[in-house]
Amino acid sequence: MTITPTGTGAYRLANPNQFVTMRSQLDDLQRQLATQKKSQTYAGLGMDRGTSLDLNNKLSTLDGFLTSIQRSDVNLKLMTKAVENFTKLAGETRADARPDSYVETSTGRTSPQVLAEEKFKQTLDLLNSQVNGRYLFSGRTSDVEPVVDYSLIMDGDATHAGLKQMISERKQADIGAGGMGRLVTGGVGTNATIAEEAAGLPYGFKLTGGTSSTAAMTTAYNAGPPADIAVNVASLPQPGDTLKIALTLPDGTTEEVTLTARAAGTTGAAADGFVIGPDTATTAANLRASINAALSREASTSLSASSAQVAAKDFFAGSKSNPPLRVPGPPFDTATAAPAPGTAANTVIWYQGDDAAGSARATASVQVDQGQQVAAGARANEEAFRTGLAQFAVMAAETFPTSDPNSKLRYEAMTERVRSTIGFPTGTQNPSEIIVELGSAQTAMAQAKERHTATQDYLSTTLSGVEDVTKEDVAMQILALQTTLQASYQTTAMLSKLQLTNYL
Amino acid sequence: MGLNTALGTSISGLNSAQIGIGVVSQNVANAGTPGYVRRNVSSVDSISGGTVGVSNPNVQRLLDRIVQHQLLQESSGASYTSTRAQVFASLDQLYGAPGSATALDSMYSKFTSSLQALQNDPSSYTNRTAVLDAASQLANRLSGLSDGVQQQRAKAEAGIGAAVTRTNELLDQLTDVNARIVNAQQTSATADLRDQRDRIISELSQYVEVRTDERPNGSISITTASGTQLFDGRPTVKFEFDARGNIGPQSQWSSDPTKRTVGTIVAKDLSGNSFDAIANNTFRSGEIGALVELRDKTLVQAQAQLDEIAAQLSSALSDREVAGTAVTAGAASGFDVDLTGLQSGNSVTLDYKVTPGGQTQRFTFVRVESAASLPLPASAQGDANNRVIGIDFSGGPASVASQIQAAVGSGFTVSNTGSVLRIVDDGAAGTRDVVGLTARPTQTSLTGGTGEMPFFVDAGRNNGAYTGSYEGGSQLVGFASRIAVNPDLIADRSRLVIYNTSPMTPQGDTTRPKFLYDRLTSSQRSFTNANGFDGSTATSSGTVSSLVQRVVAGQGQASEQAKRLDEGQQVAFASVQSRFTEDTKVNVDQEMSTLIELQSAYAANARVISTVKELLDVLMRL
Repeated sequence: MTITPTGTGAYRLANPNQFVTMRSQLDDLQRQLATQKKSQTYAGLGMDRGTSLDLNNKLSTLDGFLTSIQRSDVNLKLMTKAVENFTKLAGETRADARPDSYVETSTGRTSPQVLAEEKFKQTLDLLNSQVNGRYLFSGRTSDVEPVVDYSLIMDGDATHAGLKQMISERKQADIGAGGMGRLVTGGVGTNATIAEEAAGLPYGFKLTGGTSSTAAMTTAYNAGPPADIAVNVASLPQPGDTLKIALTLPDGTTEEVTLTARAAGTTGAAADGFVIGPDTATTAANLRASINAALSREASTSLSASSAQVAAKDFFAGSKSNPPLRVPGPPFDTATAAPAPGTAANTVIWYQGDDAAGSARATASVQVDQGQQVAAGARANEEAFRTGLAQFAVMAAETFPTSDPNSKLRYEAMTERVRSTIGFPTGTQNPSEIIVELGSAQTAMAQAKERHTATQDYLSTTLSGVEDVTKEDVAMQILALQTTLQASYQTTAMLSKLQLTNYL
Repeated sequence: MGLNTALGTSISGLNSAQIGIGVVSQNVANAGTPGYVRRNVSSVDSISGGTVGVSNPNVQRLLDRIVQHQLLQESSGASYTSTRAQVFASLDQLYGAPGSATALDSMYSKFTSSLQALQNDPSSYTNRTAVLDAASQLANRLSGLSDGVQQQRAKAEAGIGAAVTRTNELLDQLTDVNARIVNAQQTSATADLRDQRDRIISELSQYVEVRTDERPNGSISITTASGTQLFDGRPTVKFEFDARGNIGPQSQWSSDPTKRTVGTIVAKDLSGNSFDAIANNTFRSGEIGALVELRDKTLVQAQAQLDEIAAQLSSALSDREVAGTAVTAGAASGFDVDLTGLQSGNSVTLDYKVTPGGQTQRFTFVRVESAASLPLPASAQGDANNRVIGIDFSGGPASVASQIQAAVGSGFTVSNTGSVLRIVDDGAAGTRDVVGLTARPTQTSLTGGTGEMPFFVDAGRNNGAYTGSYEGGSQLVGFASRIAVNPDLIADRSRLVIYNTSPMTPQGDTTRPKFLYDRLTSSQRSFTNANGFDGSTATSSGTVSSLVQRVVAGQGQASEQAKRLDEGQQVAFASVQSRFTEDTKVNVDQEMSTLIELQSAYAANARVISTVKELLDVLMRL
């Protein structure tokens, strides 16, 4: 600032302007000190305004990503926990369901069965877990509770058939009116025949072969359809000779019925063997009775267990757009048509969630970066859950009254099947696969979070360099300005006194 | 020379010293009066009839005419730049403080972040509400900014009115003062009148840039820098301004009085002829020049930028891209595109290459509903590589095809099958290659089965979707002040996710949220650059996010530039002012020494008279 060293007019015009400018500079510095910001407008940022805009935008985007990661992390942890619990429950049931654990009870249910029912209920609760009103296992329809409640699943209601009803229907269809698993036996004289009721019948036993251990009984297997086995007692068999009938059950398991010839006068169950008679015709008649007894025992034990498996599998395969398959009827015991989908009006649909095509994981995604999406969805009707639920349900649904002589065998047939299925054999989805997939989503998110936090720190520092002021810097500027302003005031005051008038 | 002569000379000396002291006292008294020009007394020897004396003391104003002219010029420049800087500063403040929650860019980022959150949990009511809140705030901010811009324009309009009135008043005052100067003699009284006249002219120069020219008789003539004479002894023109009360985005100045919706300055000369002073570019500088420029250019452009943001935001979320399907017809190849659903203002683009050569060029065909809307306004014209042509759809598809054919010329063959438009190249001749044909219809239904949705609507047009229509004026103009979130969407916010009702979209479906987010942050859009960021008019492309940043940065840049320009101008003004002051100022010290000088002169003259008296007394006593 220059001050012309002459009379009043000299500084009158120029100086006040400069004083005003300096005062306003001081005010601005004071504002900077208070707000810690270089400028209140983008204009004041100068060349850096582009950087400021860009960084603010980036930071806001990063904030968005970090928030999503944080929220989804909670969901994923809960989901993982739920699946882990389910795995544990399945493992326990597998251990419980030993065939030798049959104990006669007044209720007709063993303790592993009672436990299975509780596990079934627990699993349903796990699958209905929600966070902030969002159901975690409902796929895209995250507002819909995915699984209906236990009693509805098991018993249905007035208009909707539940699982027990479907198991019963399937059992009727498989076992048939004659109780022989839809097989017809017959034969006269020295012959005994076993045949499937009709060609291509989707229910009951399938004959896959018949062999005898002796030339005394000639066995002829005709693959059909319908398949049949013809046995001719050509001569008297020796005690210990056997006739074996191979059967395939609706759930894909196979059974072999073995009938052993025994000498007259010995005792044994008709279903296990036959007495060698005095002649071939009597022996054949005994054999025919034995075949009937054996098949009907097999039907009420292993076939019954198999029917329950098939019915449960079909029931849990159902979803809203794809209702479960049901045996056409009534009557069910003479049903010949293949199972057809029920309707939502007459059948309980246990899974109400999203069932569109595609992977369950892809039903929910978290955007963790501009181009990175992490799949973090799950559905209650994934195969692993279906498998587990079906086994719990079969265990829970069946009863084994003491009055039924086949109870023990039937229990064994059931537990055998439950054990092998709930162990998630190769070829079916294992719950640990879901855990691994969810875990990898968590890892991807954790990595993205780490990356974003680092970037955020860096960007914030840069932004602060652009937008913020350093206190020391401002303080120094204020000090310098203050000194200048004081000096100016003083000099001006001195100059104003320096006039000739004062000395005349 | 006798004693009498000496006596006469001394008396005239006394007289001169008295006048001098009078002038000194006037100077000292006015030392602080702004615009006061220091007076000086020049004495001339006079010899009349053998008498030598100090006569006819001339009171003169001491000033440099060239510096005075410069001062006038700089003063109008300074008022021009300071007016602009003030408006820009307040405009810049409207955009909000950097990084603050109210800054336009922060609000935009908040909107995109909320969409991102929605994508992660589409069924959440909280997330849906957050999206709508952020969108409403953004829409309100845009209309708030738009209002701010229009208020500045209204202020400019009022300012022009006031400035024009004041200019007329000043010219009238000048008439009176000027006449008295011409009539009076060169005395200290005329010096006062001249001071007054200079003050009037200096105030005048703040409104209009003027040049003055003094005639030999002391009268003054004033012309503007653009050459219009304002004053020659009396005002030669009178300005009139027909201020308009309601200034909105649609209010525009035009040289055609029937289209003009803001006030204009009409200059009437003495013979009663009048001309439009704005059309004649009479006011290039000064406050009036600055206000006219702000009202008709700068602020209009600021509005256009906001409109562009609003329009891009709206279209990005609602316009579908229907890509053409490739077809061949003999040797010619090209594309078919279905024009169903094309709304008024929607476009169809034809990308082609001129072969050989290879640069891709574009034709943009815009749907209009009647020939009355053609040709499109200048702001929609595109550029050399992207010619924008309005097509009248009222005549049906065949007429559309023939209009397009006429527009693209002989290198293409345009035909139609129903609403399907086919454009193929010239086949074997090989002078054109059709690269792409895309229709961009606006989705007007919230559940139209696509990710696109009319998220924002035009509240000024019955909450209809924004299609960029040209019916009854361009829908783009002022859209920023009318943009609003679709009320149907607010009523049913599940539509943020549900894009189809049959089959029903699941509540947790991420398709639409993801689509909306991508459209805003990563889809490339082309900006019709008629509203010229950084002065360029070429079509450019970028994301909507980058557009928002560019507008805010551009506004900051312009504001800073206006501020720097003003600072520079103020420095120049101050320096000329200080030079002028140095010449004209009263230096009290100098006046005091003159006073001492005059005092001694007076004393000396008195001494001479007393000596003459003594001599005469001696003579008498003889």
